[in-house]
Amino acid sequence: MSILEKAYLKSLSENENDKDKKIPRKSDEDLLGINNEVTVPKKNTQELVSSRKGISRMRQDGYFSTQELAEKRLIHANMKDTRLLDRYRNLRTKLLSLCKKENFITMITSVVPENDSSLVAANLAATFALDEAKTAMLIEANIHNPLLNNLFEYRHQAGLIDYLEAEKWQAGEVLCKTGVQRLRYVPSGLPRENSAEYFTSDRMRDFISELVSRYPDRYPIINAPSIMDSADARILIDLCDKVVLVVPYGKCTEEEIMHAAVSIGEEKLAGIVLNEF
Amino acid sequence: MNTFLAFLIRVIRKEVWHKWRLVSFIYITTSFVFLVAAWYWPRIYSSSSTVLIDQETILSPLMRGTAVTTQVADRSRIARQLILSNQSIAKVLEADVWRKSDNTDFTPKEFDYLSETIKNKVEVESSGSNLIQISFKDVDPNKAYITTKILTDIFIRESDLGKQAESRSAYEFIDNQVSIYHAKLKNAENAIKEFRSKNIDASPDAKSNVNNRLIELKRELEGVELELSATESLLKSKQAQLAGEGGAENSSSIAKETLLNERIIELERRLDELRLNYKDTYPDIIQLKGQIESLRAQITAEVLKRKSPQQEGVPNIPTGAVAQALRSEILIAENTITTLNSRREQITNLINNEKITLDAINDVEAEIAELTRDYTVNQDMYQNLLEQRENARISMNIDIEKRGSTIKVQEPASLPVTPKGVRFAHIILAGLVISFLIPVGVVYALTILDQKVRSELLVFEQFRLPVLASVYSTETPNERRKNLLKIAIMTSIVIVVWSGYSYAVLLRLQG
Repeated sequence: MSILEKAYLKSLSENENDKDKKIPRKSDEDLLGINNEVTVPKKNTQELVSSRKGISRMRQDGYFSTQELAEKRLIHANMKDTRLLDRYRNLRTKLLSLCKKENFITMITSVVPENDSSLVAANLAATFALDEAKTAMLIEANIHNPLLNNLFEYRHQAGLIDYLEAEKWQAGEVLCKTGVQRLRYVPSGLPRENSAEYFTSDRMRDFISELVSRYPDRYPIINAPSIMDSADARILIDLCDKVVLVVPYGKCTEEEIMHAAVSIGEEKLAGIVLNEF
Repeated sequence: MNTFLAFLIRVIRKEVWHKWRLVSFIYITTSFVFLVAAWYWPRIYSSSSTVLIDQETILSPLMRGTAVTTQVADRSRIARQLILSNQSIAKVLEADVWRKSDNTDFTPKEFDYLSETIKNKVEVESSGSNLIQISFKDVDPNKAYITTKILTDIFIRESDLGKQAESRSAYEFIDNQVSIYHAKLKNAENAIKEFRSKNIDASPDAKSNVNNRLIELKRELEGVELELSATESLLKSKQAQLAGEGGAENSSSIAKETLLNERIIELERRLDELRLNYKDTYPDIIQLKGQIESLRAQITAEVLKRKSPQQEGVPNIPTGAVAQALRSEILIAENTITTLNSRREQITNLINNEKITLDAINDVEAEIAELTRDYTVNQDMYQNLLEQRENARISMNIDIEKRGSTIKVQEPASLPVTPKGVRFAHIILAGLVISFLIPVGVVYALTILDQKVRSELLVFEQFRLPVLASVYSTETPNERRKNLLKIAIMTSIVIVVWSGYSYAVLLRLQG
């Protein structure tokens, strides 16, 4: 298949997405929002309406088709496997109830290096974005293995590292829109050595706070490398409010899990997510 | 338990899915190994015969009450020893089925090897109290049948010979005992004879004769003693009579004294009458008193007078015809007494002698009683043994003529048609099941060895960390296609393996 053909097919799918966009999907979300977010701090109706208006003004073109979402294994409101959808919603609800603070920063890390924790991060972000009153921001902090770049098709995009390295970049410039509604993405940037030094800089902290404060209901999610593998994850722990530890099936020992949990610390550790159990 | 089982099933399912190449490889290999094993597994044919054996030996009924025979503890063990003796095996190897193709004799090494082979293949076991089953296993049904038949024949023949030898030895034993008791009996008889000849008195009547004699002597003694006492009393009376011849004066004096006494009694009666009416001073009374006094004086004088002549010591030997006659009678009596005394002494001596004889006879009798007792016991035993010897002779003859044989073939050996033990079908069935179980087992063992966390429950219980969610990745359409292909491959592997098994079974059925 030539590049031209691919481009044509993509434009077709984008058109389809445009059609999809028009189909109202509010009812479901509202219901679920009421059901699942019992413990979440309540907002008054005025705030909720203004928040929704603000979000709805965002540019929303080039969304993934249902088929693309399925191929990327991303969850969406219309997916057939409602069991998985419910699980992610429950996860979101638990996180919201754990953290009373608005726009809290969640970090997803895995006990051992593995690819699926990135998908968990992406899906968690997508779950936050399901609610029309909320937006999610996914930051790819796994510099050496930036799988989310592939997922959201930003393979050679300047990203987090480029921003941290050169002051010429504005925070808004590295924030990309994605094929998922209400989900914004910060790519990792071009691969570099010694990335740890960038994460310790004040610029990193400023960057996150700036992006977070842009919208009131924006939930930033950092996809960190494995805590056992990289020092980056440990550094990033300081920057975030809660850490979700992904335990993959049959890939880590009890000792490694304990080690990871201790490294994160009781205060920051929101809990663990079992993957493929 | 249910939780564990559910976990086990889930883990195995996941692991089999992940390691499907390894699982398939192990499955194919195991199935193939079982198929090859089933195909080349030798068909073992087993032929067996049952032999009925009378548990009682010939000696035991014969010797019942007389002696106790030793019990045969393990009949089948003895049978095994009998069957697997080198002689028996040599006979088996003479059979056509065991002969070498070039018809040469076996070398000692070959014989040893075949002997061991036969010993390993023979099974002798007792089924029930008196049944012995002999069976032989071999890949050749004909060989199994012929060998079992030969072994059964050998067992029966050897047992018959054994029984004959047994009954013969029983007869010989009893015969030997008979001769021993015969000798003993003879010795006892001789001992009695010798003793009797030494003690002739010790005839059976001797004791009663002595007793009779003793009684007679005692009676005689009593008669002599009676006669003696009679003669002695006669002598005394004659002597008294002789003494009474010289006392004529005395009698007149006594008569006078009597008269005087009568007079005194009369006078005293009169005195008593007078005293009724008068005092003692009355003259008649005084007179009467005086008369009585004088009469009493006269009596005293008379008594004195009568006793005086003896005191004077004057011999008063009577003479006259009566005295002479008395004297001669006294003499005769005295002679008689002397004779009787000497006779009594003689009889007493005789009695003592007879008593000594009686004691001797008692001693001899005790001795004879003892000798006779030995003799009687020996005689009884001898009589019994004679009877038993005749029984044994009959038993021996029965065994020799094989009429009383108690060993017979209950169920003869037959040519086996279907193979015994583990067969093609068994291995095929086992292969179908085990070839599924082994890969599952291997996968589970790998999981255990791996030590990686696979249990949700473990995470909950062990770490006490909050579990926010348990998520999984949805399968992409591409993955779904791959998974379907994976299922198709695995199913087709199973189908191919089963087809291979079916084909093997078909080939086997067609021979």
